Amino acid sequence: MSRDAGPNENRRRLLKSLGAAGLVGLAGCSTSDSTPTGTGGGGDIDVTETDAFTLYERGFQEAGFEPPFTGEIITNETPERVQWAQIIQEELNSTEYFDLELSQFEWGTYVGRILGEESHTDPSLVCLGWSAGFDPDGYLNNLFTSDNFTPACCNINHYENSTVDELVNEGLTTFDIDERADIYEDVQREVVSDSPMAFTRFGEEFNVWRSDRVHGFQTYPNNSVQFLALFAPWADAFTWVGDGGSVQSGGTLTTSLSAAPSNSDPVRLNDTTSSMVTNPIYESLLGVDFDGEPQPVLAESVEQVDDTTYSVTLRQGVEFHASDESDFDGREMVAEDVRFSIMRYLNTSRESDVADWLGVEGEEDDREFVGTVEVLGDYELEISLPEPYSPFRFSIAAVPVVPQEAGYPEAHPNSDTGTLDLSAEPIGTGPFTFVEEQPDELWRIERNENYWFEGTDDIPAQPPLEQVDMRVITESSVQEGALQSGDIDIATSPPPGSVANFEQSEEFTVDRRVASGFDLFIYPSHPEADTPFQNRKVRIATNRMVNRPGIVEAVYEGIGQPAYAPISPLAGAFTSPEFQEEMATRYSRYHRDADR
Amino acid sequence: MSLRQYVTKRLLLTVPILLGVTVITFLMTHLQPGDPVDVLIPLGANPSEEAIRQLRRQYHLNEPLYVQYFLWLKDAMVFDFGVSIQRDSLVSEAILTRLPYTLLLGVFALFIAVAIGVPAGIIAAVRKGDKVDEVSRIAALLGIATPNFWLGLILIFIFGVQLGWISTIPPSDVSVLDPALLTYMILPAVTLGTASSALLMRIMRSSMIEELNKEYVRMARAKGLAARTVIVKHVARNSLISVVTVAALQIAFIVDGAVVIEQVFSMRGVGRLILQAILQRDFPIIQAGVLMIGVVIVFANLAADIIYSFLDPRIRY
Repeated sequence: MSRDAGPNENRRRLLKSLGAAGLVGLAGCSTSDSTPTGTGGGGDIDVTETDAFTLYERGFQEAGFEPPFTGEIITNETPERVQWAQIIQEELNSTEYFDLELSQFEWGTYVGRILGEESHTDPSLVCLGWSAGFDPDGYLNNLFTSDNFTPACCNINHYENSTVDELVNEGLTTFDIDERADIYEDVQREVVSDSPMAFTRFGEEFNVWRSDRVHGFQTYPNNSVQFLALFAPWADAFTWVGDGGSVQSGGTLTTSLSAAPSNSDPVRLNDTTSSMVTNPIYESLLGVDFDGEPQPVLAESVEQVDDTTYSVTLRQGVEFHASDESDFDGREMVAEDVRFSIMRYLNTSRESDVADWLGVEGEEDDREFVGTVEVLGDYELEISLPEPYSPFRFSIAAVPVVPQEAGYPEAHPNSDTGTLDLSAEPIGTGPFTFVEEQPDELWRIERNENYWFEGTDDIPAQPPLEQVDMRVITESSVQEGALQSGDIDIATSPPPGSVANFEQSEEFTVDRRVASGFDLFIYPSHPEADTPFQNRKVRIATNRMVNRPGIVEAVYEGIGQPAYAPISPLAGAFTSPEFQEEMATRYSRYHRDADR
Repeated sequence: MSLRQYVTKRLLLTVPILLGVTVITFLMTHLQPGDPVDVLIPLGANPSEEAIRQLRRQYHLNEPLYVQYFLWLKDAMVFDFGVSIQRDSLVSEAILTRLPYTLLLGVFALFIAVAIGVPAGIIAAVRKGDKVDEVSRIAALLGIATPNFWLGLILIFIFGVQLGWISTIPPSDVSVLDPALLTYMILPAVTLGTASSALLMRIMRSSMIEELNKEYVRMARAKGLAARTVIVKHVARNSLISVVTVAALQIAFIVDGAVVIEQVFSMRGVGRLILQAILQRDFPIIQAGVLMIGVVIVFANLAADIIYSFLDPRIRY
């Protein structure tokens, strides 16, 4: 393929000069690029001050590719994701450095492809959404470290940077929040400077409800815990229905669900909906409140004795729910249940929830957790980790405590089926008990009359709500209609396009909160994929071709925020608007914005 | 051959047909990319390879394909369809709790399709060429061309949200023949039956026109029979044969459409169950679900064959 200076070339030069002129105004706020890592890094030109077209020209030359690069953008079928993939496809193809096709896959096929062993040799650009909790370690580790190359986990393009590996490890063992924040700032600088992927948007959670009927409900920034506000005295949250004014007890709240839950056993459930609907039923030692602070729930206290040892004192007098399906009448929760609930994760699909901090070793029938959970008394436990683990409090908050009568799952070495089947009937200690599931249609819970909370002046001892009916409504536009017609009180996922209308109406309350999850556009940057993206200049240039504010507006109707680095503003301790701004200016500002 | 012999022969034939259905379903579900264990593990979790191996072993996914098939078939022979990979509950239970609802929807939709399609077809044939015929032709075209999920959403919007006559979601806590549920089912059944009714109408119209030109009709008229008797008793009855054939084929179409309708109308049903199972690679549910649909379609066609002999006593097998 030879390259001649046709009309395309002229157009490119013209755009280039425009871009360069536009960047002059911004040059003052960017410092020189100090971290030339990966191929095509630094050296001759300063990528932070060069426009996308110059970067493409130099990058393609260095990588030895003649434009246009013919390839594929791949995505699953989530409608919004397909739309932003299309916008990026248009934008990249318009540079004439690319000739990209868009391919959609159904989720199961997609996951098999992007998380397969050979994913790093796949020359396709990958679109993905990542949901995350409050602590950044999870995704920094899973996406950027060499320990997590696929198929182990989710470093899809096998991005490898020893500095990032070291820093992430350091972050994991650093307990001082300020020190950790510094470390994570360095991680983000490294990653954004290398740009193995573009961060495009931070998600937003939102709920809409009928203002005259629902009171006290709040949106939680992580969808899996969306119903926390139904009743969580430790997070100062509770919901009631009625005419407003003072708190009224009784009544049924009807909410929507966007999918049917598939399994309610904590070690089996794998979908967001199952986590959402079981959250009011199960409780953990700690819970993470609306501000992202871990608070004691079933634990009275969790004291850190040394770097790897935690001593747990349990709340006394906490009762498990009684079962309708078996002869389990409920009983007091004791330390042995906590130990059991943790050990149960071994060999299950959710094993890593515990193995991430407790460690796991051995093969076949001899597998076991490395750390220990020791029962010191009915209300005392000691948890010893093999290594320091700074997000421990967040992790333990994600392990629900269930009664030992539930037995171990089939794949567990101590397999015994137990008398309770949590997949069919979730039993925990939470403020609501499970009543029934009507398949594909309804999930019903009711007030737990024996809840352990004693009440304060501001918060009643028991949930004011008598019953909560969660209705499965898959079509988001039907959720919108059901809320308008009063068939439901809270819509948990109406179409993004309806939010603006609801916000204008007095009848409805819209509660929006930025989430920690983000959208990703992953470059096939591994040399074995053999694409121009192995060159850093091409990656940075592509960052600049992603119109993030445009995507937030056009695809998500203004819901969400443009992302320029992985840590969401939700984790306020670890990032700041100024930092995002700096990363944007240096590596990711939309090229055509820079032109202006 | 007597009718009884014919039915016996047909019933025996269903065995290899259904066996073929299971083999093809099995191959198609297992040969498509994606693995239930991939779906089982939430994105972002990083279980060890050993944990993944354990899971694969638990569901026999490590065995060769033909071994997996025969393991499944052995149990299926005695109506044991195994345990759902995702749900951890019995497949037969998952299907049986939803089947009555899908059957009800299907029967209701077919009833609406016939109730609208057959009389409309008769009227159009009798009034061939005039305005009524034109209107019915356009209506039929619209009915066939309208995507049923769109029609469903529009009906919900008009009757549920704007007029408030019905609920936008199905009533809870009701059994399958509860009046509240039957009322709710009108819109889904209309949505599902519309396209079929349009097709039935066109078929009815054309075969009526054909019959109307036959000698016996002129004879009947000549001997002074009332026009109504001629149309209803003779012509319509003879025209029904082709309609019955098409109606039986429409059952497959309705089962198919139920997947979408159940989703739009937030109803439980086998269609949604199978769709979700396909997305989650829940092989045992897919296998049993497709087998069940196969059974329904085979029997619907058998029923059509039997109905022929009642409609036209000359037909003998």
